[in-house]
Amino acid sequence: MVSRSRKPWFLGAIVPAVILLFWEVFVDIGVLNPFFVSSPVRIVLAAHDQLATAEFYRHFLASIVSYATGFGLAAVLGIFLALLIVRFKYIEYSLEPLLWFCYSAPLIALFPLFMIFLGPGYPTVITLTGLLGMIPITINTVTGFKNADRGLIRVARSFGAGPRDIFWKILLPNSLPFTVAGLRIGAGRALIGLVIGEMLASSLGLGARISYYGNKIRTSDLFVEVMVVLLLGLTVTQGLRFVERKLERHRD
Amino acid sequence: MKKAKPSGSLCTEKTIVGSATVLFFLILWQLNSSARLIDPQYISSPSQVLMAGIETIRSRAFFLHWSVSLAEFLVGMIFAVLFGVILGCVIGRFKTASDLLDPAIMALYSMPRVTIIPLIVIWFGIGMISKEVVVFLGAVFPILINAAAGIKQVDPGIIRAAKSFGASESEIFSKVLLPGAFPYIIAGIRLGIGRGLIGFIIAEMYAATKGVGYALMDAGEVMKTDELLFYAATVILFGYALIFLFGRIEVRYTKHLADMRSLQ
Repeated sequence: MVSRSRKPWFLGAIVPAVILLFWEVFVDIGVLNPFFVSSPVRIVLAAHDQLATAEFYRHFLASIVSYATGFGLAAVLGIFLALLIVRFKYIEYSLEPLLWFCYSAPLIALFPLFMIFLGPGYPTVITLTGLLGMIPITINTVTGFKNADRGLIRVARSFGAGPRDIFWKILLPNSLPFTVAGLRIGAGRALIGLVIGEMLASSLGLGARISYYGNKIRTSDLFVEVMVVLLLGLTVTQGLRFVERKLERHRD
Repeated sequence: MKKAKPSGSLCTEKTIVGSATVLFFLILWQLNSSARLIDPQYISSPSQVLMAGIETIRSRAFFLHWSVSLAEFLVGMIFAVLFGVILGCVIGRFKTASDLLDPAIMALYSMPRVTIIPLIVIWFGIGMISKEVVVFLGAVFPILINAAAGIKQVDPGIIRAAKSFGASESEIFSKVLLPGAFPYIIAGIRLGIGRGLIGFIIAEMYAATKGVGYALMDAGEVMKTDELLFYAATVILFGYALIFLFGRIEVRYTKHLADMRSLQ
């Protein structure tokens, strides 16, 4: 059973490497049309070209701004809403079912409505990013608070802790890992909101570039944008996962 | 500390307050159309949404769009379940397959799915096939990953016991591994449904001439808010109902795991 724990990473690298190799070779010998499928080398070259243009950074920056604003708002409002739900029983009763409903319902269907309210551009993109990102944050924070050890609270109370002590010393530390996990899930959903918003409602941003290159059938450039979005998503979610692990270790 | 009542009866304070909120909101929304605090052209009203709903159902446009979307969704999902369960079982059962394929699958899984919709439209056109592919790609990875995880978590002791009583590989598979992995597969399908739904709606919004996503965008472009809201409501309720149903099935098979509702 010792060999099971040792991961032969090179085995895992074989499949992607073979796929990339066949992709390139098939395009180069003319089996596949590079116009439609591009090829690894063409994508790298396109990335090299794109990264040298100011245009790329303009769109990248627009996406970062929308993402940071939308997700930042989602975090602040999401946690605030969770605190209200935890604090006031009637808010909990009236909003919690709705929250779970929104979590599994495809809210993206409301996108055209946002377009009508807010028009194309930043407002719609940021709203969509924030809305999709907020729900997991609120749900997880609420769960974190509710999940606190009742016995611990009772012990603290009998040793004379006030509600404020209980909030700061028990409830908040207990809910923090849940909130960070909610932030991680929210970050992924917010990214989807960002890209869809930009694809359908903006002329600025990575999503807008994706639909632009799609319409022009510039597949190599399209792949570059897809990779950039992928890297952006991985950076944020892995960063939050790192924080999550730190918190877990801290708790133990 | 009072303990929360088990939510068996419908008349708990919780459900009353919950439904009262929804009702209150609907009444406010309806009153707005006479008070005109917000232009009703932007937000419509419940009665108008209902009327528009009856209208679209009468004109058959509703069935036309939904039948296209449902067909896309079903075809994509069926292929995703078949492919996901089969490949997932192979990966879960054979370590070499898992070592070979895991990184590639994780890479594809973490790919933001919406970004490749334009590519899929280039490859498969704006018809139904491209949406079926989008649904398939959205749904297949959670199913595959969960099926593999489900097979892997089956107690090796049980497999060894079955083997020593003379069970063949196919018997082990159908009598031990598949039942053991079943709750995981259902959980995977539930996740897959969510992703598949979002997939076809966005793909239809992006490029289509039929389907609910297209109908939504179309109604939005001509500011038919009532029709838009009706379509949105059907999409949202459909998605919610389906996920709720699979969540129930899952809970049935994983009672001991279902105590805590937190997102992982």
